[in-house]
Amino acid sequence: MQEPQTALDLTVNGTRHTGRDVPGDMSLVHFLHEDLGLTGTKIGCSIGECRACTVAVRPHPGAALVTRQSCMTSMRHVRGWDVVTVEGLATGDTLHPVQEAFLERDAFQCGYCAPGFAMAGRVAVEHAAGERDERGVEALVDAVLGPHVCRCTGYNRYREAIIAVASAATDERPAEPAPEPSPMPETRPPARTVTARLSAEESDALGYTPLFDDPTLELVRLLRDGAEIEHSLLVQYLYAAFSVEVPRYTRLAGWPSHRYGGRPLHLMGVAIEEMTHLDIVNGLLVALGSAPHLGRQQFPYEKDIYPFDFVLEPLSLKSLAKYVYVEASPEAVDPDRPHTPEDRAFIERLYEVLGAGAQPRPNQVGSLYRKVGRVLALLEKREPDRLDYPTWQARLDVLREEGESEHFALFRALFEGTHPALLGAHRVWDPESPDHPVIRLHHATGLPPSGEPVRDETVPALRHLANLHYWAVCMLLDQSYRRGGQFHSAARRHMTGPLRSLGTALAHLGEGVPFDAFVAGYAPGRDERENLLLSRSMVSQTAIAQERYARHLPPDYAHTCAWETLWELSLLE
Amino acid sequence: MADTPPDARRQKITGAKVFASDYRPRDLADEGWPADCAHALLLRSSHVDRPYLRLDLDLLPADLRPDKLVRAQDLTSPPYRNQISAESVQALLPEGEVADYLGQPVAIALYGDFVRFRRAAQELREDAGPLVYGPPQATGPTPTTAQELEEWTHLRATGARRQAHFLLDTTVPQGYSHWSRGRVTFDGTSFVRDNQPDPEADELFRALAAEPTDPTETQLVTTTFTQQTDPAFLEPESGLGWLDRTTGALHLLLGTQSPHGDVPDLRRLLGAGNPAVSSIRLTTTDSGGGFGGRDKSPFAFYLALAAVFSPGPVRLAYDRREQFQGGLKRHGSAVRSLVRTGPDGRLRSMRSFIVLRGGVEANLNGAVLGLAALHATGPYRVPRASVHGIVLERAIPAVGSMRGFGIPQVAFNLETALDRLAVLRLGMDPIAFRLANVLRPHTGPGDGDVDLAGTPLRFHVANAEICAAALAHPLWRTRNDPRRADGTLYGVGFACCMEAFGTSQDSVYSAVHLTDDGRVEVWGQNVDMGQGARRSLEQAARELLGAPVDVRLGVVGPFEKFEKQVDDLGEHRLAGIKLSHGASSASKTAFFHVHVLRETCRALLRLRLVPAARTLLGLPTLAEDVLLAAWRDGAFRLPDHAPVSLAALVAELRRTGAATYAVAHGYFCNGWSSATFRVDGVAHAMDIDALGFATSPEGQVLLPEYQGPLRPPPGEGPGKATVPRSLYAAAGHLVGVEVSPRQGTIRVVDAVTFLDAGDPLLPSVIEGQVEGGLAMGISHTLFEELPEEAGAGPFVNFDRYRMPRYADVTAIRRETVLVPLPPGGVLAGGGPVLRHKGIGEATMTTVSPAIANAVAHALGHTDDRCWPAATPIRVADLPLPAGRP
Repeated sequence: MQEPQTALDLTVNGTRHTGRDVPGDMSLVHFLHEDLGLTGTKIGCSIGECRACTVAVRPHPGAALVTRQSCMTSMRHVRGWDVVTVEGLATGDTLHPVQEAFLERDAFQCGYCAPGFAMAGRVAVEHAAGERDERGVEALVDAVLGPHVCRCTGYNRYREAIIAVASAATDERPAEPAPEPSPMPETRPPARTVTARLSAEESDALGYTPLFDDPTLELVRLLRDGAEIEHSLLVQYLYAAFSVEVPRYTRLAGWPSHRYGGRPLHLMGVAIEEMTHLDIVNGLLVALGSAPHLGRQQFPYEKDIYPFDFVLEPLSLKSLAKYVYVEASPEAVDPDRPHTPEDRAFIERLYEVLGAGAQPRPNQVGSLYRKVGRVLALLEKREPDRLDYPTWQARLDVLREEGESEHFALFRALFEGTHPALLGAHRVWDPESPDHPVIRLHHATGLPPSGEPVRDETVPALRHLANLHYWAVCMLLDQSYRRGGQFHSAARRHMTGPLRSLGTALAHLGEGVPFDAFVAGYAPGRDERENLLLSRSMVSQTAIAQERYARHLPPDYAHTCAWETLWELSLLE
Repeated sequence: MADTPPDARRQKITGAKVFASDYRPRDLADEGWPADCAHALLLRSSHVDRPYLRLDLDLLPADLRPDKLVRAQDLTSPPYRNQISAESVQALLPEGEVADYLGQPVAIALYGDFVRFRRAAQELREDAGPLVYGPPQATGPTPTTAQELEEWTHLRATGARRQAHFLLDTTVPQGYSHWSRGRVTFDGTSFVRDNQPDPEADELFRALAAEPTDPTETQLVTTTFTQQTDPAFLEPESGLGWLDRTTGALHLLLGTQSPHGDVPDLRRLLGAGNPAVSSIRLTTTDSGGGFGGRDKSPFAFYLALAAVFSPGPVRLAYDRREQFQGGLKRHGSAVRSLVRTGPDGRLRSMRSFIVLRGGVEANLNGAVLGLAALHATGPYRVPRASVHGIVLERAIPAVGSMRGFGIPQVAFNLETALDRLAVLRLGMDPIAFRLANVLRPHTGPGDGDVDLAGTPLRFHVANAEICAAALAHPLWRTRNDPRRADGTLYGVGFACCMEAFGTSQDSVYSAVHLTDDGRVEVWGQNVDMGQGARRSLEQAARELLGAPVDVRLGVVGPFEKFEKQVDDLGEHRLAGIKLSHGASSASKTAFFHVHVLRETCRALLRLRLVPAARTLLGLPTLAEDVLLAAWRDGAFRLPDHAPVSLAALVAELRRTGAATYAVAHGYFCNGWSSATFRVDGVAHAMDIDALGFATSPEGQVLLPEYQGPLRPPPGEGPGKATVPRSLYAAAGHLVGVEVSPRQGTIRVVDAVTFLDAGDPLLPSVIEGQVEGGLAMGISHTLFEELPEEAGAGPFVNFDRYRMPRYADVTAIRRETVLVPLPPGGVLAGGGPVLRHKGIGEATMTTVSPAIANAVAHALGHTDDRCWPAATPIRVADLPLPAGRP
């Protein structure tokens, strides 16, 4: 596992920290604690659920102040952020009105959750100035604080304290100038004229014949292919993770202990890594001036890159064989190369399971990114000032490396039954074996027949709601890629919260998450503003649907998720 | 607010270092700690059906292998004793053995730097890790809780360590009870008392077990289940340790509810003769919540081991998943009650069988069970009773005390049973039915009831007042009024309890130091975990001494030294007064600690400040009561004299070499101990049993002479057994719920808490306990559910273990009704006039049954199934009316 360092550029309580590298996988709260020695921000759950770790963030100058969970935010995602922690809330010895109100009303008991409430309160107060009346203020405060957890109190004193301060703030318009429109994450490319023809030398360097002479156009083509594949893999792995029988094989599924970053050790880990791959690919697309791409490859794949049909299926020996094959480096599964006896036996077994469909070693996903790397090098030659090329090449390396070594190793261990999660189990891939770790999920679409309502029964209701969250995630990601990662935490919240809960509940009923593609795509609007409005409509629809089908929902379904996202989206109007 | 906010609260909202998890070694440089910090990680076993063979570090990426490991083989005996409890549960599982319980640690991995530790922790928390196991061994099926309960109703059980039995018969003179006969146990065939078979108990048990023969009698059988829950305090357990190899002092900093118990426990683990560890110095911090989950927690053992084997300071900090996996839990329960009433609606007898599902080790199983059993008949006058409880210890992580201490489990059964009995069988108003049956305390000679143990209710308890207040409350009176027809079902339910506070043998220390600048330092044994201990003590000391007060809590050391000094006198052993050190709970500050603190303050005032004032005023013969009457706002204020301030008095005490520091001990067991101290030739009677003075907290403590013998409290009845409990606070909840069949939701919309708290020392603290108790009660009733795989790995977090968020409970219409305390105070003439009760736990006990009864009302009380029989209550389990959408 590569853990690239990331260049530090972060402002905390007015002090800018820059000029050195920090581990990219370190969470913001650990950086605050261990590096800066600021321990006022608390850790309650480490997965963004309890909100004890809430800090106030302006992601870039002029952006609206928002809450962020510092426990689930990696340092590689905070570049340029201006963060306020509880240590920076007071001005000298003068407490912030929210702090004063907490003391006056005895809002907290043990006080461990208080910094998180104070920072959320600070954010709510800032936005309260835009509310017209008391009810608007209350709704705002409830939306911002809604997901917070306190174990000691009944929350009402926090609520009253913050509403009192926020109401006072509505009378005082902020002195700050109106937020400026957010700048693009990277500078726009210079105006281009006629495309230069590819020279023979350049063609040799590429090692293949590109479809387009313009490296930008070629990159957009390749990266959109890549995005579709990463997205498809993400969904397939997620589906497979939900098919694993829990609690016995919890460590194989990995969904109860998911995390971000680190070597993938289970199916959820691989799925999450595919999401970070999707981020890299889309990040590069946006840097090139292209739109992000959240579409998914339709059937069948371009065979030269991905030789199998896209199928949502429970985990099986056959599906594992495909995953091994797709993630392998060309050498690892090439029967014509020398191998150890163990590797040879593995390769033979692999082709035996794959059957007639698989040709020995066609092109594969890793080679796609090798191409991207070479076209990027070509672009660098032609337009050396356009991008931060070393950074993008390094990211492409990570992407390739993670697939070909780590994913491959994981899937091979599963295929061969040697993964530690399978220890002690026998004939694991024999569906008749008592140790078989898979629930046979039934897969069906979540779309009702046209013109008919979604049936008010548990399975159709959960399928429908799962689709809505999935579509909301895709739309949020699309918006996020265009806005410097602004909605990443929201997208993740929907995935690890409601979508995880629904997937588990469906699997419990022997059903899979439908993951239907949204016919309109994920940026169907005419322009940015329309896309944002449509994204908001999608999230609103999840809120409507979760109320409509409330009695079917599992007990761990997070109702506050959609409301919080709606609030975040409202800040952009 | 008139007073300036105390420092600790301000620190908590400005990000200062307050909690154990805030500290790093570099913050303790003033105390000599080196700045470097190693990080410890526990490697735990995931199986109890196969042997753990060894660690294979090659299974980890090279850069994530620990710098050092502590394993069972490192704990050579002597000096080490590889055990974390009095019984045979090993701290670290040796190679080749099957784990004692799911999640048992096999090793402590130490890392020298944070980033590597973090990455390894992520990896290890997620992967099977480097543990290698042997093949699985065949294990039998695990009985369900329902099966266990069924067996226990025949007093059959397996895997049991702890039992509790109460047999009561008040229908005949000199009837049977714990009070009159003593403690009874069961040997598998018959009841045993004083190591002799007890045929009287056998006979009573059989008589109550016989089928009812009186046709006018009504019998109701109720079986209920409550789930295991996690305390879920928001700060996961965390601490720092450092073994100073130059002095052999083991320094520990952690947030614990039981600092005084932890130190001797750690000493047993590390070995009394361990040459590496000459002393253990525990610093306690405020805790981010406790609720019982930090009382004798195994965490301290691992922190100490990590510190002893680490080359320098080390930090052990659980993350939430580890906390769920390894932290103490509340006992799940199965309870069956059989209640009989006569045609007059009076209770005639009750039988109750209680199964608590415990974890691997004893922890506080016995204490929790004892309290559950004692409360099985609730606040009701039951002429004949037979109550039998057992804790079944299973190979799951330790289950210990948690807010309510076993009482919420039995209250859920009894209070839903009585509701159903009143409504469906007797056709009575369920609160009126309760009111007719509640226990009433003694008000004069010869009257008053006894509790289940037969202990006369000498002290105040407001059972009747609470039922009467609820009966008259508008929420109850309007419960059947027509409501808007929006498809939701509305119901109101009531439940009440009388809940013991204290431990029945409460040994309490307090110390007060007057500083040169006229401030007061209070030293307490207890800790603040959000229950308001610090502010309550502050307030109590300020009321008496009228000066600014600083409170230091969780103090370990001075009290132990004082104990030894007092114990050496031999008087306390003779009198049967215990000098041990108790743990902190939410119900102990207001009554116990505040009393001993006040006595300590009074001792300083009367025995030190009054004499100094006489000197400064030049009035050497001025009467004590005149001076005491003139003590206001931190000064003696006599007419025609300039005020004599505390600072001036301290200066005078300093000048004469007199004490400015006092330490005291009090003991409560069915009453306070008391003693008369002879100071400067004058006798002073006080409701404490040991007192000491010194010129500074570090100075030599001098004990004044006793005049006459110590006066121990009347801790035993005629049966010569210690009274189980005698102090009770009553509480009740009226709860309004909306059940939405359409949405599948149950929402609490109204809640009235009735509370017998006495006079609030700090109204805001009481209200805080009321609000928090309600929220936690709602959480246990409608939200929390621990996935079955919790112990096997780091699999549970707040995403799956749902608790109410802000958005879930802020819309409740809430009210508190405090029942006034009569002039006689809590002890009703049986001791000093004290006016505060411990209510931190009673505030949540009745929430669950009140919600269940409200649900039954919402469903129309149509049949028995309307009363939920298990928590968490889920709409899917309810018999919703026909015609639901």
